[in-house]
Amino acid sequence: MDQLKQFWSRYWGVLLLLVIWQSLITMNNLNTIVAPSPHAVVLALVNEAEFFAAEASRTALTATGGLALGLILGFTMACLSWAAPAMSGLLTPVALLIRSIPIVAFVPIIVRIAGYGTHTVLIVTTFLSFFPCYVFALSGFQEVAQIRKDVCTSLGCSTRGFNGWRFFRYVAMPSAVPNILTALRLLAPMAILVALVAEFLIGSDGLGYVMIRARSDMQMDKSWAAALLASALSIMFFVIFSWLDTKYRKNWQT
Amino acid sequence: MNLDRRSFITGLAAVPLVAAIGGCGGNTGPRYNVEAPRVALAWIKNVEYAGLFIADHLNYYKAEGMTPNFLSGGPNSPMPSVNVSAGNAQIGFDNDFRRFMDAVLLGNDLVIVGAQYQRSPGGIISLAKRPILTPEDLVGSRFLGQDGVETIVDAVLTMAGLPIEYDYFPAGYSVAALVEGQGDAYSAFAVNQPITLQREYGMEEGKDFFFISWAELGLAGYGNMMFCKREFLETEFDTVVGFLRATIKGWYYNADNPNLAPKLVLDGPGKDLGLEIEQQRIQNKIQLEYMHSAITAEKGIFWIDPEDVELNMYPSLRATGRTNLPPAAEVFDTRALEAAYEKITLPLTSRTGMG
Repeated sequence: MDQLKQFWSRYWGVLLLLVIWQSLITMNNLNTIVAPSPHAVVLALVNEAEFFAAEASRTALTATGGLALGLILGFTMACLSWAAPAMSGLLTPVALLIRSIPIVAFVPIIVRIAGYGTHTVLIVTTFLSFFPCYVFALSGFQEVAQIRKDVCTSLGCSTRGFNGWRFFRYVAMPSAVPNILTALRLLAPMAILVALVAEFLIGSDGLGYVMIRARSDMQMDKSWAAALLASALSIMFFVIFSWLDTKYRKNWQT
Repeated sequence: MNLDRRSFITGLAAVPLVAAIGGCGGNTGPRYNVEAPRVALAWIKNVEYAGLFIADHLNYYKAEGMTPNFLSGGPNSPMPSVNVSAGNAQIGFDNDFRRFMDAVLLGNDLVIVGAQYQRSPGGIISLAKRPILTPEDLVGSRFLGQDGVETIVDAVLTMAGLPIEYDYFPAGYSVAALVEGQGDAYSAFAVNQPITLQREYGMEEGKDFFFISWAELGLAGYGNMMFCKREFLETEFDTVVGFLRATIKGWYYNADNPNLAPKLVLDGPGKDLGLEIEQQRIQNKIQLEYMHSAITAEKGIFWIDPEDVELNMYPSLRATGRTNLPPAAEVFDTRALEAAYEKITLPLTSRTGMG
């Protein structure tokens, strides 16, 4: 009973939304091609649970892959920028440029270069994840507490350039970990969104593709079910990375 | 049940909210204005709707006591059937016979009252290096299509008893992707993209590129079918007839004066669409071909024939799993056409050379 109460007090907003959704459809007598009822959407999810699970895992996998590749790329570039500030002059404008192009405009350009397919969705997600990882990591490297820098200098350790790799490895890199965790927490739900948009526009599988294909076939319940699942996935990603953030941040912060 | 304060307040808040929703949906009276019916188009406001813009320009609609409001269709807009079903429009034009019938099968009581194109101009463009002229050619091809086309390709293959094996790539409405070799087949409208190929790429039909219609591939169907809810047809019959009559007169005028509509479109409704006057002129000429058939020669343009639907259009729907189709005469209703033509004088018809 207590659990039920807790559930109610925490999720009443969601339940209210469901009630409003269902009432709007019942009272306006809307056909499923206009808007399916929550009941129909849940039914679509349950009836094709296996299909949806497979498509959702595809989207999750692409988003995770893009996130991981973006992190590796962003981290590597940040390392290079730290070691050779001249690199930063080259990389920052490029990174900014990529970031300022809207994804819907970005996708057709990538398609022209890389062709259609899941690999293109992966490339798009990677590109979009790259920039925040790069910026957060670089600023983490650069924000080493002055006192630590002083200690290293007094011990005769270089704190910049390629000669300072030991300083980088033992001081700068660990101090950037909280920043990278923040970047991931912010990026995780976005990676799902980007993967979805790319699948929607150019993909041939994944939840984004299911959304558009079902819509063209007038199976709105299926289309909305995919959208619902995508939101759940996005929330799940946020929760996982928030948890990682709070769990590991302490280890690296002073 | 033990209610705590918070959940009680929540519940209290929900009551007026739900009541308010009930209030707005509860009234059953007409929510539309018959003097300004909203018309959902299947495509952007270009010369594809020449007759409508002319009827508007020459006050044919005003003479019927209405000023219609045209809602643009095309990429990223709701399907016309959705617009009409939601009550956002009273009259619609639909270009996808299969999808329209699916809406009907899903419980939307819609009626077709006339058809602009007797044969849908939709089909496939392919280039000389891999011509697509039969359903067999589609197997193993790379298909560039837009929203909804995948279902049509699947239907062609199913109808022909072929395996559904092809790579589908979502493409836009520009034929450039095909010319650049990103695919072998491109779904297009005979009244649109072939003109681009001829004018911009200097290609010749039948030599450099080929066009084959969906009908020739086994899927016959009308194009730009004018429809409304059955309830609207029954209660506002005169409005439907008036709109249809003015529209038909507009199209007849267009056949006699094909240069007016492109100008009207570019000056008005299609001003910001980046259209080209010459392309619009050619399109306007080509589309006339699609507007007549044996039955329109006898009865007039926009005519629909439930028997023809039953014999030639339904079989492909049945073959692709739509077995519980309503009798064609129930969905294709000629009463509005009959009433509209009662007041269209014959000389107009015979003068156009279309009759």
